[in-house]
Amino acid sequence: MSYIELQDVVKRYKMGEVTIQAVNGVSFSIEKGEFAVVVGASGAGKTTVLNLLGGMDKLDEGTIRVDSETISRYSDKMLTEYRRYDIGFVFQFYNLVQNLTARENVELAAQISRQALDIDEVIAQVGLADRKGNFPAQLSGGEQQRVAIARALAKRPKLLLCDEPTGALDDTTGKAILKLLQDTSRLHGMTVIVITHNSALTAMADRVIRMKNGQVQEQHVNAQPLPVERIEW
Amino acid sequence: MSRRAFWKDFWRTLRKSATRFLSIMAITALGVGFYAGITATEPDMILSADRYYQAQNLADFSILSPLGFRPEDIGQIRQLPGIQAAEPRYFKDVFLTDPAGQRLTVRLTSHAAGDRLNRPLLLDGRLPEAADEIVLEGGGELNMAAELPIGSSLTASVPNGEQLADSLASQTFTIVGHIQSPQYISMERGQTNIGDGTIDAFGLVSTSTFLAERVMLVQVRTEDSMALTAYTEAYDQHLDTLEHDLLAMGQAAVGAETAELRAKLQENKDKLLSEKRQAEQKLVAAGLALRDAELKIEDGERELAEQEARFRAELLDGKTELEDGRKAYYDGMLDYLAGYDSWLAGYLTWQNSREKLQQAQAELALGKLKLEQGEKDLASGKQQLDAANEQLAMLSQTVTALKQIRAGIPDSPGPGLSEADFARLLATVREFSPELADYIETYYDPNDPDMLEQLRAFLDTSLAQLERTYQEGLAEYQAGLSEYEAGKKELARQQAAYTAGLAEVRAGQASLDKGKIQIDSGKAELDLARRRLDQAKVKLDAGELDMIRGELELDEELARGRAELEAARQELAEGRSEYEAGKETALAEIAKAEAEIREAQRQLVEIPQEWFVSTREANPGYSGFGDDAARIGAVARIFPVFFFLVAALVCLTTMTRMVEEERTQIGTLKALGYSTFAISAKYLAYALLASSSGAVLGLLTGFWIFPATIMNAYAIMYAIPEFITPPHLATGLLATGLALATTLLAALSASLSALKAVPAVLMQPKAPRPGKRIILERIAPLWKRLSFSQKLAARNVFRYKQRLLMTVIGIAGCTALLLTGFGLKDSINAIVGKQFDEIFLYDGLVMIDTEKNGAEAELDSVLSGEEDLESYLKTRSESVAVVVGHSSQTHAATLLVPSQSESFERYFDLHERVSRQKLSLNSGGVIVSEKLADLLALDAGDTITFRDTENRTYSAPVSGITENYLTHYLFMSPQTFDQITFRTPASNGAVFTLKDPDAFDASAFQERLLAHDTILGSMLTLSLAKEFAKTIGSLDLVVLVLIAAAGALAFVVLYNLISINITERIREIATIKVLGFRDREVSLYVFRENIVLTLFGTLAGLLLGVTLHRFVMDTMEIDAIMFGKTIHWTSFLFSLLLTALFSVLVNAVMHGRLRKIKMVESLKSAE
Ligand SMILES: Nc1ncnc2c1ncn2[C@@H]1O[C@H](COP(=O)(O)OP(=O)(O)OP(=O)(O)O)[C@@H](O)[C@H]1O
Ligand SMILES: [Mg+2]
Repeated sequence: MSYIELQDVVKRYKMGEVTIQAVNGVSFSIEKGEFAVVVGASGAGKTTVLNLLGGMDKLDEGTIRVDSETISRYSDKMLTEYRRYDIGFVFQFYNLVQNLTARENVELAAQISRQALDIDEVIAQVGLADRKGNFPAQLSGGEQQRVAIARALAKRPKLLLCDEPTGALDDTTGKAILKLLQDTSRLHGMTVIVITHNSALTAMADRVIRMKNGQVQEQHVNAQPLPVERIEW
Repeated sequence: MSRRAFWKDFWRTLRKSATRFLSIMAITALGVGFYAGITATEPDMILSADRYYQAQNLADFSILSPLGFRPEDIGQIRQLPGIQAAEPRYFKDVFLTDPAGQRLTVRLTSHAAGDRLNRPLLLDGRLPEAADEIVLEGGGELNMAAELPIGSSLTASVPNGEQLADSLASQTFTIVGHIQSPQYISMERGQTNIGDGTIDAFGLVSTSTFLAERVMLVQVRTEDSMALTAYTEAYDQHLDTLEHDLLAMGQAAVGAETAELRAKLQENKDKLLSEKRQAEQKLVAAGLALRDAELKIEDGERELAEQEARFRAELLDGKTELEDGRKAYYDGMLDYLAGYDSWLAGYLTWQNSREKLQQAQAELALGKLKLEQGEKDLASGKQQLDAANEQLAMLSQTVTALKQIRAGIPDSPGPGLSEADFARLLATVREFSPELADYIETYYDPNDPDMLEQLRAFLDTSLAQLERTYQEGLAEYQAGLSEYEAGKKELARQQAAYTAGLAEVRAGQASLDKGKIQIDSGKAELDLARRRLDQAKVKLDAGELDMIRGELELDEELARGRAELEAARQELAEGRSEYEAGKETALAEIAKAEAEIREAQRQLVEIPQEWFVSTREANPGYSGFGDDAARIGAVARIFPVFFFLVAALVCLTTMTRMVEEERTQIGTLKALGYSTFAISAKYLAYALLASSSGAVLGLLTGFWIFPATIMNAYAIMYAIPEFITPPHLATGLLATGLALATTLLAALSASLSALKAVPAVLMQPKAPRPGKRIILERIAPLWKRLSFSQKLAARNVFRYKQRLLMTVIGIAGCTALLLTGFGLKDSINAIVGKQFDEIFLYDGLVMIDTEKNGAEAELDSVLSGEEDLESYLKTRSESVAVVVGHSSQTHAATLLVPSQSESFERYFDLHERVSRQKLSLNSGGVIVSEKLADLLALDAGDTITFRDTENRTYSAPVSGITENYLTHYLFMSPQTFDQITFRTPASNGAVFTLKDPDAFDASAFQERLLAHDTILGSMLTLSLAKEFAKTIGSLDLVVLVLIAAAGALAFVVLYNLISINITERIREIATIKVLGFRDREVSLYVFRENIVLTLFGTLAGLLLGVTLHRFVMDTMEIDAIMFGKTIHWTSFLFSLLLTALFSVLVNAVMHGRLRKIKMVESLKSAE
């Protein structure tokens, strides 16, 4: 059995009379320590799948298993604990707490976690050792995203979920962020799932999942993933 | 935007933010309603009362003449300009006993068919017509006569010593109806001089019932009164001139009538005074004369004593002097005798020496003779010697010459000697020895040559013979000479001895002579001393005689002086006994005169001076109601404003928030080219709709619910038939206007400030407020100690300053309101506690019927027989009306005079409130209770004027102001009472303390007391306190309203603020949820700052509350009561806890909302 397994996952949204099948029977699996990339057109249901996987939302049908735990059956409370200890999230728009400094943002996550990494070490790891006293408003987008990553990493999660982490960044910065994520996966053996619009990025992934219209169109394992530096887009 | 689009958008916004709209509406309704309602209460109360007064034609003045009015007086009153009507009334306070035996003290007032003023409100039955008909007050829990039905018959009576038939035409009355009167809207029925001094009920009887000649009361209505509303300033002012005129008229009328009496009394008093003064003077003069005599004797005695002393001293001096003289004399004599002895010894020595001298002289004379003889002998010896010597010398010469001659005769026979030579030889021999020469010449021839030899031989023989003779002579001479020399020496020695002896004798003579002189002068001295001594002796003897004579004389003189004094003394004693006898009668006369003067003074003091003109204010019901209304008015001026302010603030933040939320849309519209007005119109319309609908809702309910509720509470205390709650246009418009203006302004300023930005900026979501370091972080040691979440809370608190302020203000307001409410309760409760535990130390009081004989004595015997009583003190208490300045207004007070001041402090703890200084009754003045002193602005040293139930007016100095809470009191000592009224205060009751108040059986005690005819009843302080606590319970409502209002306020404010807080930070909250914060943690994340703010607010609120409480106390106090000034600590605690509770409640509601926040949507929303 794989580390992460989704089976026939369905998620519907009711909007008055209309019901939208945002995710329509998605099944895929990812192995522990893989660097997976989910690609697909806008509206394909990528975010929805990721949210379900991250315990931020509940599915309507199917099962999701992570580390042989069936989280699709979790109650709200259990999901909170799941998010708290097992999941790290990185968003497109960083979602840092504006009223906290970079370091404090990391600390915010670290203080609720059982096996938190050393905060300063994590910050150093994302290359922000000398900016940790700054507030988000005083940081560039890339720097903010690094803080967001550091915040996710600090909890030492089983699973790092990134929803278009480079969407708001220029190419170079985006690459740097992706490299950080890839390195994290390689170095710590952490399972990382990254959503992106950019198909070029599939080259660097251990596993690629292509989505379309709420379904998995195709998934394959890259035997030889390229390092980020060598990808052109 | 087209009209349709505008409205479509508008309605959609409205629907979308229904909660916000409703919250603005609600808070506006609350603010406006509370403001308008509370503000309207005062006018509503006044309007309700005024309607009643107008309907019943309540008189504006009630004039009482102590002498009764003459018809011309009433005529004069009617003629005063501005008087609409003046109606006469009779009244009489009587006891009415119902068939069941219940006795009421009732004030009967006359009623005539045509009376227009003070029209009674007939509840049932009809008004009295016949002289034995009566209507009594009815209806309401207030009155005690309510249960007597129509048709009941009542028996009237009056106190002993008075005849009912003198004043009333009927002794029994039948109840024909029940009424209410605008004159009696409160529980107060006034004071009387019968019974226990309080009137239980009022009744109306026909004018024909009264037999009195003169009218006692005139009711007056002014012309303008109909047009003016009671209690208003205009109404009060319009009375001023008339009041003044009426007072002046009354003074003139009473003055004229009493002038003669006054003059006569005064004259009598003056005469008595002068008589008394004369008697006193005589007495004093006699006393003085006596004293004079006494003084004279004393002077004489003193003089005599002085003289005696002086003489005795002198005598003593003389005697000592004499003694001294005598002693000196004896000393002198002793000296003299000693001197004489020594002189005599000297004299004897002298004589002895003289004898010795004479002997020496004789010896010396003998010696002289011997000496002379020796001299003579020596001289003859000398002569012999000299002759021998001369012979010798001649012999020698002869020898020599012979030798020479011999030498001249040559040895060889030679030539012989020339003649010449012989001659020469012969001459030469001649020279020596003419005989020889002769012999030679004769026997020798110069020419014989042998002759020479012969001569030679001759010469040689002669020579040798001569030589031998010479030698013999010389030896003889030599012996004689040495003999002579020895004799001479002896003589010289004898001569020297004689001379020494002579010198000795001479020196002896000289010293003897000197001794003689000394002896002689000593003798002379001694003789002189002796003479002196003899003289002194003579003098001493004479002195002694003098002394003895003087002493005798002195004794004689003293005896004479003493006798004289004794005589004078006797005379004085007689005079004194005479005086004493006279004095007693004189004093008795003076005392009598004094009593008469006192009586005259009393009568003078009691002569009425004026009419008692009372406005409606003198009616306790009327003024009490007015005060209550004014009090509500005062509350209305502060509380709702406060409330309103908070409401406005809430609207402001809400509108600001709304505009901010829609900034993207505003930006889009602006970019599309819509005008500023067109865009902001939506928000203005929104604010207008929300606040105006809220205002209307508030006004509709507020104008009705608040006045109605409050007046309903007052209905228990005031008999106003109907309370009306009309809408008040001005108040309504003002409240609505203010509410609209506030919200519109808020909407306008918010949208305008948003519109200032360029569309591009607007269209982007408003960046979340960037984080900032706060001042607290600079204090590193403190900051480091805070936990992470505490730091976060601290930062968030200061992140949104406006919200911080709002929350603190809102919470502070809430706490302040609560504290005020609780404090109000404390203040009221303090009254009971302080009054009955700290000031009134007695446990109960007993009242007696002074009309009955021996009541006081019986009281004594009954109370001293009660074993449960610890002690008691008889007192006199009466109701008095304390006059305010120079107006007709009075305050009812109890005048309390103990029978003695000594143990008074065991029953009443009179003290100054702030300094806690005890006040003594014995300071010669009146001790006034604090509230009354406040009302009259009295201080110690001022003068207080009061009127008793007999309408006697007195003035007295204020000696102290005592802490007191319930009703007004005047305390004075019996002496002061006496001084002021010229009457002795007869006790009409007693206060007592119990040994064990808890174990006391009150009802049994009461029963035992009432078994005595003279005892009217008793009252325990405990039950009095309970009773009072019950009556002021209505104020609990106010407390409840305040607490409810405070709760609503707290809820609205907190809800609003937290709500805004959550919306503003929804992404942040969603983020931390995603991070895995548990629900509780999420809530805490948000609430921690609220808790901090609530804490700040609460603390500020406690401070604010203290101020607010003080203000409310000052405005709400009623005249007869002083509220406590302090808030109990539990009230602080309760306010704090309740605020916390409200805040917890809000947070609990918010917790639910936080739980429902969807992470996915929330995180998406801003994109
Ligand atoms: N809360 C929601 N309510 C209604 N429909 C929703 C909701 N969330 C997502 N959807 C719909 O579900 C479908 C999948 O959306 P999803 O956000 O997963 O797409 P996506 O692949 O992440 O797209 P993109 O690359 O643009 O982010 C879309 O068609 C969207 O309209
Ligand atoms: Mg997406």
